[in-house]
Amino acid sequence: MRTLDTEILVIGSGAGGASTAARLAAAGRQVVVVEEGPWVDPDAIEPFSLEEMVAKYRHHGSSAALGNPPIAYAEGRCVGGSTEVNSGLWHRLPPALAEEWRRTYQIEAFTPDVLDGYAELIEADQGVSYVPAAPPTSSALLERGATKLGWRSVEFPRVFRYDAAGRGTKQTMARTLVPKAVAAGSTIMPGCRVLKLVGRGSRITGARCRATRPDGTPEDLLVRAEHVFVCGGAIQSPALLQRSGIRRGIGGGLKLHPTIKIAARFPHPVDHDDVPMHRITEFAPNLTIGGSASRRAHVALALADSGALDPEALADWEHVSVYYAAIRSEGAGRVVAVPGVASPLVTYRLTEADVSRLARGLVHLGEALLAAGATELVPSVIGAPTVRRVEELAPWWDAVTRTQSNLMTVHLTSSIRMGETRDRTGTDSFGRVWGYENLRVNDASLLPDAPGVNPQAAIMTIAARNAEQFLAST
Amino acid sequence: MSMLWFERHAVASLTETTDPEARAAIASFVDGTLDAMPEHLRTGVVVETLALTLWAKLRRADPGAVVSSLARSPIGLLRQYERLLGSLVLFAEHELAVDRTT
Repeated sequence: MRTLDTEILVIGSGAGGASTAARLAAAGRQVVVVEEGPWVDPDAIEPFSLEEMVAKYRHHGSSAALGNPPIAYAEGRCVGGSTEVNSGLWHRLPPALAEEWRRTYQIEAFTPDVLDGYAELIEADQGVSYVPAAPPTSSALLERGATKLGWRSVEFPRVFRYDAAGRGTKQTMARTLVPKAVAAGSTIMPGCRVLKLVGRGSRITGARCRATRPDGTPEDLLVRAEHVFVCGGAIQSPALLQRSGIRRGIGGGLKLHPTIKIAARFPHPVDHDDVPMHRITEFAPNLTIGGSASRRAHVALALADSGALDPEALADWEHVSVYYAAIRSEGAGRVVAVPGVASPLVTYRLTEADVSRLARGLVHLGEALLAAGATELVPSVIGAPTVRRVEELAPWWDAVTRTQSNLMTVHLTSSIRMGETRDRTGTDSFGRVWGYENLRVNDASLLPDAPGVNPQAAIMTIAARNAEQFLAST
Repeated sequence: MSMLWFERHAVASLTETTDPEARAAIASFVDGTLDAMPEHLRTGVVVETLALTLWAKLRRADPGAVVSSLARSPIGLLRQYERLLGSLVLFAEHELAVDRTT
């Protein structure tokens, strides 16, 4: 078995891993980043396409949390992780949530002031910005619907840089912090899966990996490190720790944003190349309304989720866009590593209140879209009626049930919570795993609860804060 | 694990395009995605496939017709089976249509 020595091993190269590696490398630390997925040129593949699903998504995007109902979810699996496949929307962690988490989990140095300080630096560095021109029609429709109803809506900035012609480029980790970490001396190893952490007592000494040689053949590799950061995301990080025999406070409490959709048909064409940057925030953070990727294939899937694909609506797909209502869920899930199996078992238990909240979200989304001028609404609920007027929305309240609703999510968090309440957390306030001197987690797993918004900003902010604390303490 | 007999026939039946190249690409995408699924999910799908194979053979029914009939089944697992195969075919079919027009 080949052996590699480094001071710091970072496992995963998404929002958490890339942020960690870039900061530590910039401070002169020796860093090796291992990433299970491949390096994919960010310019080579069209966003939200079939090719992207195959190249950049774990399991080609076909994962699900088992439960009643099952909830489909997607994770990135490539250099840059989920930042390569998400919409790039940037939501700072709401101060009220940060304060609630700080109190509940006794998280040190977790005040809005501290977090905003890191967020400002990241935003300047990553080029977080608003669309320089008018937002696309699909986005403006959300604003129009909210305005007509007297609801709050907000255009969110994105992790995008724009050229003089207004063309935007998403600032994914593969474009920004991964190259920055490499320029500062880090080594990035794509195609390298960590099988298990190894160590003695309270010290982790490294990781046993299955790497891919340049010729494509596999090789066993032992990476020895003085410090290890696990940054594989809310599913893979707890699975790795469990495979390594570390189980206390690990894998329970998984949170996600259950999401229900509507395919909305308008009397005019709607853009399909971008994701709306407006969100209706009237009911936030417990319920957020926004827009999804709406390429022809996404429209077809959304129409089919009603249980009966209307060929006439599908033929008119250029007038159809897909919107969603996402909730903060009372329920929770679990990640369990199964011996001898590569993929962990993921379960999620939705509560009755969650189901009610989803029904409310669907009806409010319908109200907003009709107010925006939609002529036909097809919900992702089997057997629910297609709606053309506000008066027809009432049956949706009863139609949203566990058995009839098709739910999905792309936001997964909270499977290794941080804080000083040892009975409810897996790590201390800065991601150090309880019982281990030199093992840290630094990704979405640490968020004590689902934030109700795209978590990338919260993940990067917390990762930067934890990396700085590590530098100050070691 | 590659697609099983029933799955291959169901995918062929659910695919609308008559273009042989597109049909092959769709089948290849579905095959690759089923193969890439988490092991426990794939195992569940295989068990359902075997049960449906038996059902289709006994009834001398077309796999595509059997799968289509599951969309409104009162049994959640059967609906999810139809949703899985139907969604994969639908997504690939319409993505490939985009490719052909751009």
